Amino acid sequence: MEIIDQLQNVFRRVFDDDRINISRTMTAADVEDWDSLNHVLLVTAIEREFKLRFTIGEVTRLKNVGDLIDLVEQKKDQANP
Amino acid sequence: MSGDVFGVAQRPQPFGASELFSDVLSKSRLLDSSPTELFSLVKKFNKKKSNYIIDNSKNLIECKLAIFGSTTTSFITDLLEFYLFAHGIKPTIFEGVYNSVISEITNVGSDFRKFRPNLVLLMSDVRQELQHFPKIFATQDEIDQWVNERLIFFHQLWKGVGDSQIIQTLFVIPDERTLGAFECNVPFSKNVCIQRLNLALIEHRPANVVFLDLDFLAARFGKRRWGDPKNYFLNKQPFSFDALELVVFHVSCLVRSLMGRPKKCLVLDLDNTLWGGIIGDDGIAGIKLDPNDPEGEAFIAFQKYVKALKERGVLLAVCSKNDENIAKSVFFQHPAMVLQLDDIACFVANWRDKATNIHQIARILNIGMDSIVFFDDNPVEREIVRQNCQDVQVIEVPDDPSLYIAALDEACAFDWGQLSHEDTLRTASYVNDVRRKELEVSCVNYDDFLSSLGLEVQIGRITDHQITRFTQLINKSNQFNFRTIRYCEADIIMMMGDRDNHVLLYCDLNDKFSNYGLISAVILKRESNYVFVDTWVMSCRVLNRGVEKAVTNSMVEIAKKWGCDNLWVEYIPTKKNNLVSNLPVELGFRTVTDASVCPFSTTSGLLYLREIKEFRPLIHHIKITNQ
Repeated sequence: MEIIDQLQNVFRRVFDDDRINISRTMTAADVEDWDSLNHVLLVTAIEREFKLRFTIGEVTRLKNVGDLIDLVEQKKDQANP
Repeated sequence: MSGDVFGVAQRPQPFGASELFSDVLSKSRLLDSSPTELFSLVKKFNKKKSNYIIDNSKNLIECKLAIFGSTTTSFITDLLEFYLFAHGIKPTIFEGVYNSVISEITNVGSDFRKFRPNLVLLMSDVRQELQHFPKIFATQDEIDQWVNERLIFFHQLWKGVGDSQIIQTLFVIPDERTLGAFECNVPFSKNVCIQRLNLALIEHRPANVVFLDLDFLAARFGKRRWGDPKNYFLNKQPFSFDALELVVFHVSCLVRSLMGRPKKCLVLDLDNTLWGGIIGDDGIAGIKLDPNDPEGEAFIAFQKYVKALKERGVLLAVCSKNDENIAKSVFFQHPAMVLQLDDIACFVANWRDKATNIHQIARILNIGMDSIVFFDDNPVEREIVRQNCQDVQVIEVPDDPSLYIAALDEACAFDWGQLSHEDTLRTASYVNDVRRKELEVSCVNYDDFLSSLGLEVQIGRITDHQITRFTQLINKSNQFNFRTIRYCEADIIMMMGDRDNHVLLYCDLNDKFSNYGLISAVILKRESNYVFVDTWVMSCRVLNRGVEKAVTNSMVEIAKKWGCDNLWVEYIPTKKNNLVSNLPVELGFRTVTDASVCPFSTTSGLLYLREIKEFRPLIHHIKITNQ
């Protein structure tokens, strides 16, 4: 499964909404329930799903879902070269 | 202690909510759930929340709870609300703005003041509130002064909050030591000073403040996993999301008792709960309660823990499937028993179902069903109580008795908001004043319960590999035993060889919880035109589940195949087998009083007869899986 599809599933689980379709330009402003609590849940769920740990710097630098996709890809490559 | 008179109607549980709650309170907590799963549960409940409130408005206790934290509290609030509903509380939660407690309480017109809460939860954190510590090599006086300054701050804070009941967290000792191994070796180290402060807080606790030992929770959870530095820096989150369920569960148990819904009574099983083994079958010498035996030691430790609960005011009740005198004999005779009969406020030992018995215990003690906690090693008993006593907290007892204390301790069943000297006298007043009420009609839908167990049996002639277990069962059964004739393996083998005149039947049982193996043994002797039940034993653990009926049906089948007219049962009374004295009548046999009718000689027995011709198979809820 593509990373973007896997990520989309995580989004759908965390926000409990199967209609969510993520895109690279998507930000928190685009999803109604994406508040700070759900943001933390989202990051935690992504870490669990991909078996990764984001550093504090990596999390603060995320500006949109595109950054998130790139970050996950990059870290996955590092974990499994 | 006020007791509600039992008679409050069973609370209606609207579809959905009780399933959501049952995991929180009864079966297993949600410790293995991910934070996402937990919050998704909360979302599910929130969709039904307003209907739930309307349906249950008479039974929910209202509680206005204000939460302040020097760290983020918002993620605690949602889950806490859900857990409080599960405890029968309708919370209205006021969430203080992060780190705003001082301004909110000092400002007379503030929203907090207008809210007028019943409870105020204050969550303190070392990283925010204790920024300066005594210097290295500080003197004892300087350390004391440091402690006192902070103590004064807290007392002023609590006074400022006003009359509400306060829950104040104690400080979590950090998971780092700048002095390394020496952190615990000098009085001025940061961690020792924090410990000192926690102790000083405890020593000078005002009446309206209850502490929540967050350091204890962090230790229980595992401090390494508890801490989440990344999310502390990102969101001022005080601890890892993984620890959230533990914290919220503990807070909710404390709130429950502060709001007047404490659990008051622990109902205990006896066999394999207070001692290893079954007293009716194993006898005083056979049960495991010897301090020199590891298993016995585990049960003794559990009894000591339970006794300590009684000593601080928890009522103990016994609910056991046993002959009452046999059950009490352990208390009278066994030298290693820690619990004594005087410790038990209500002792119920009979062969009725435990749900009905618990209702009776509630009536006798004059307490509500919702103040009872049930501890029983047998999952089938736990199931019947869960199904029929919805308000009772049923502890999910682990298989291993060495883990009993942890299971009871971690359930937080008896978290009380206060402790008084009167609590220690509670049991004595009940023991002196117990009224035995007549047992009323069972309230349990027993057929539904039996169907839900998924019972299956295999009944047939025994084969070689069953001989040992078959012989063992015959020799150790005392209670469900009609004639108490003992045989050795050689006897059994000889009878097996005589197939024309003897049938040796085994019965194996399993249900959705467990495979019980061989639980009943029958020896049938064929005579000229009748069949004699030479031996019929059964494990008492599976009484009243329908096995008696299934076995009876099989015995009649065999008599039919042999072309016999009658099936005879002889009951020879002993001190231990009163249990089965009238059972044949319940199974469709008739009593024979005229001994001259009996085709065999009998001196001390009671006789029961079943004609084969018009026998209709007895109905039960067991699937026969080997026909």
